[in-house]
Amino acid sequence: MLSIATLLNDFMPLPRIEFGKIWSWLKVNDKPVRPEDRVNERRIIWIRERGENLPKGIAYPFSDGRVFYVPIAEASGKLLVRKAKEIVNPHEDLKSESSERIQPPEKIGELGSMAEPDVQRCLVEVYYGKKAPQILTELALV
Amino acid sequence: MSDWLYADDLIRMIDEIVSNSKLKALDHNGHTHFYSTPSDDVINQIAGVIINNHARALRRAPRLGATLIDDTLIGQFLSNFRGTGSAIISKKVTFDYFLANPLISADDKYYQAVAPWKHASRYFALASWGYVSTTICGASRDSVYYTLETPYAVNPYHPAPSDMQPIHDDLEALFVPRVKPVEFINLLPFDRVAKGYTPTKWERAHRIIGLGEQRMTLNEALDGVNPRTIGEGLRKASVEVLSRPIEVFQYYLESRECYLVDRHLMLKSAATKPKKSDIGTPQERQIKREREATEFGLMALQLVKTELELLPPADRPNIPAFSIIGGKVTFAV
Repeated sequence: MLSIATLLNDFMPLPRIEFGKIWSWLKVNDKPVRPEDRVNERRIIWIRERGENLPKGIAYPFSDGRVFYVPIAEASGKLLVRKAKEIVNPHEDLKSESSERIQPPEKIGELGSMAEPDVQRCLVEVYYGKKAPQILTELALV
Repeated sequence: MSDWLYADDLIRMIDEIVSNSKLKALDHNGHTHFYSTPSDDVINQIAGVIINNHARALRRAPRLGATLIDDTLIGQFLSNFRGTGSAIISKKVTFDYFLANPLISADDKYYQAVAPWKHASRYFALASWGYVSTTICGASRDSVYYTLETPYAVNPYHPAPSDMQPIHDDLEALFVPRVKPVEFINLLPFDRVAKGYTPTKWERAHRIIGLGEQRMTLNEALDGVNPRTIGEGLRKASVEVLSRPIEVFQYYLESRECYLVDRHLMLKSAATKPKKSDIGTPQERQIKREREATEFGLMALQLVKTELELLPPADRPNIPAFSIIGGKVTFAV
């Protein structure tokens, strides 16, 4: 089997921009096999700058029509739930079930009051899924 | 067997690419440039148009002759990664891949997306030498820049953060000790920044880096503006605060000269084509500076004269009458 390094050497004469595309059809055979562990299908809207690799936070619509925005700590990926705020007059795309799951920060608009503990608890559950009990304990939100 | 990959798989690929010396995965010209998005708290305090730091960095780095992580082979690899085998996405941003990845739960998607970039950023900071510049104004203390790039740029022996594995010995040997030292960060001598660093705390180093960036970007913003305009603006902006704005203007001109000299050296040392510099000989600069200061002084004197003439004679302060003729001040006869 060809090693990744050998393959890369062979591809080097290509322009660098082509390099990533190569990976699209490069089969990596020795990756680990893991069970499917998708557990959280509840609707989170990821808030991300256009062209950026990472979201800056999430928006989550509640059934009563309120939508909350919570930033994410960049390096750790932790939800900064203490900074969760309600979005004043939330944009339709943040409320609609059919809109894109990634929305730009402009859609957040004006932020209002801080989320009360019940809301914070719910946001943690939505984001962390099965890990939520542990996070809630850490944040003293139980 | 699924073709979807986890962050660990990408990290393993990064390690393979980095370990192959022929690929020059983090090659640069002796000037690297870090960037980081401002925190929400900072963004909320900004009035007016906000330009994303990544966009600013993409614009500034070529002007400074610097290499961004985006320009390196590793950056290209991550930016263009769309998957392998049958697990391919149509978009080309790393997060899109992990968002589409059915093996990863919602809470893990962000972490999985950031992990390869963190790994690459640590290498990029370790691979830095020569000049380092930044576009990190307002960066969060949770950012990859603050948690990884700052400490590893200052100290290649910096201990691995708790959420990251230490670098494998073979790979670490490629970067530690550095091939060449980091000499300047944002045009400030490296030692000055290093004094603000300890392995557990580097807030002071970050602040110095931030001040260096502020100095650079303000100079860049004022680049090409007529000094007279700046002098006038300075007087207008500070009239209620500074008793002697001319001293401030003089200091501005001196500090600008220092900046231009430093920038000239930086561009000269980077392997890119140096830009045409504004720097003349010391004598030329001195003459130019004196002329500019004199012009400012004449403007100020003319202003004083006008103000005096507007006042009723009885209310005028005890300043001898003078005239300004042909750019020279004379006592009025």
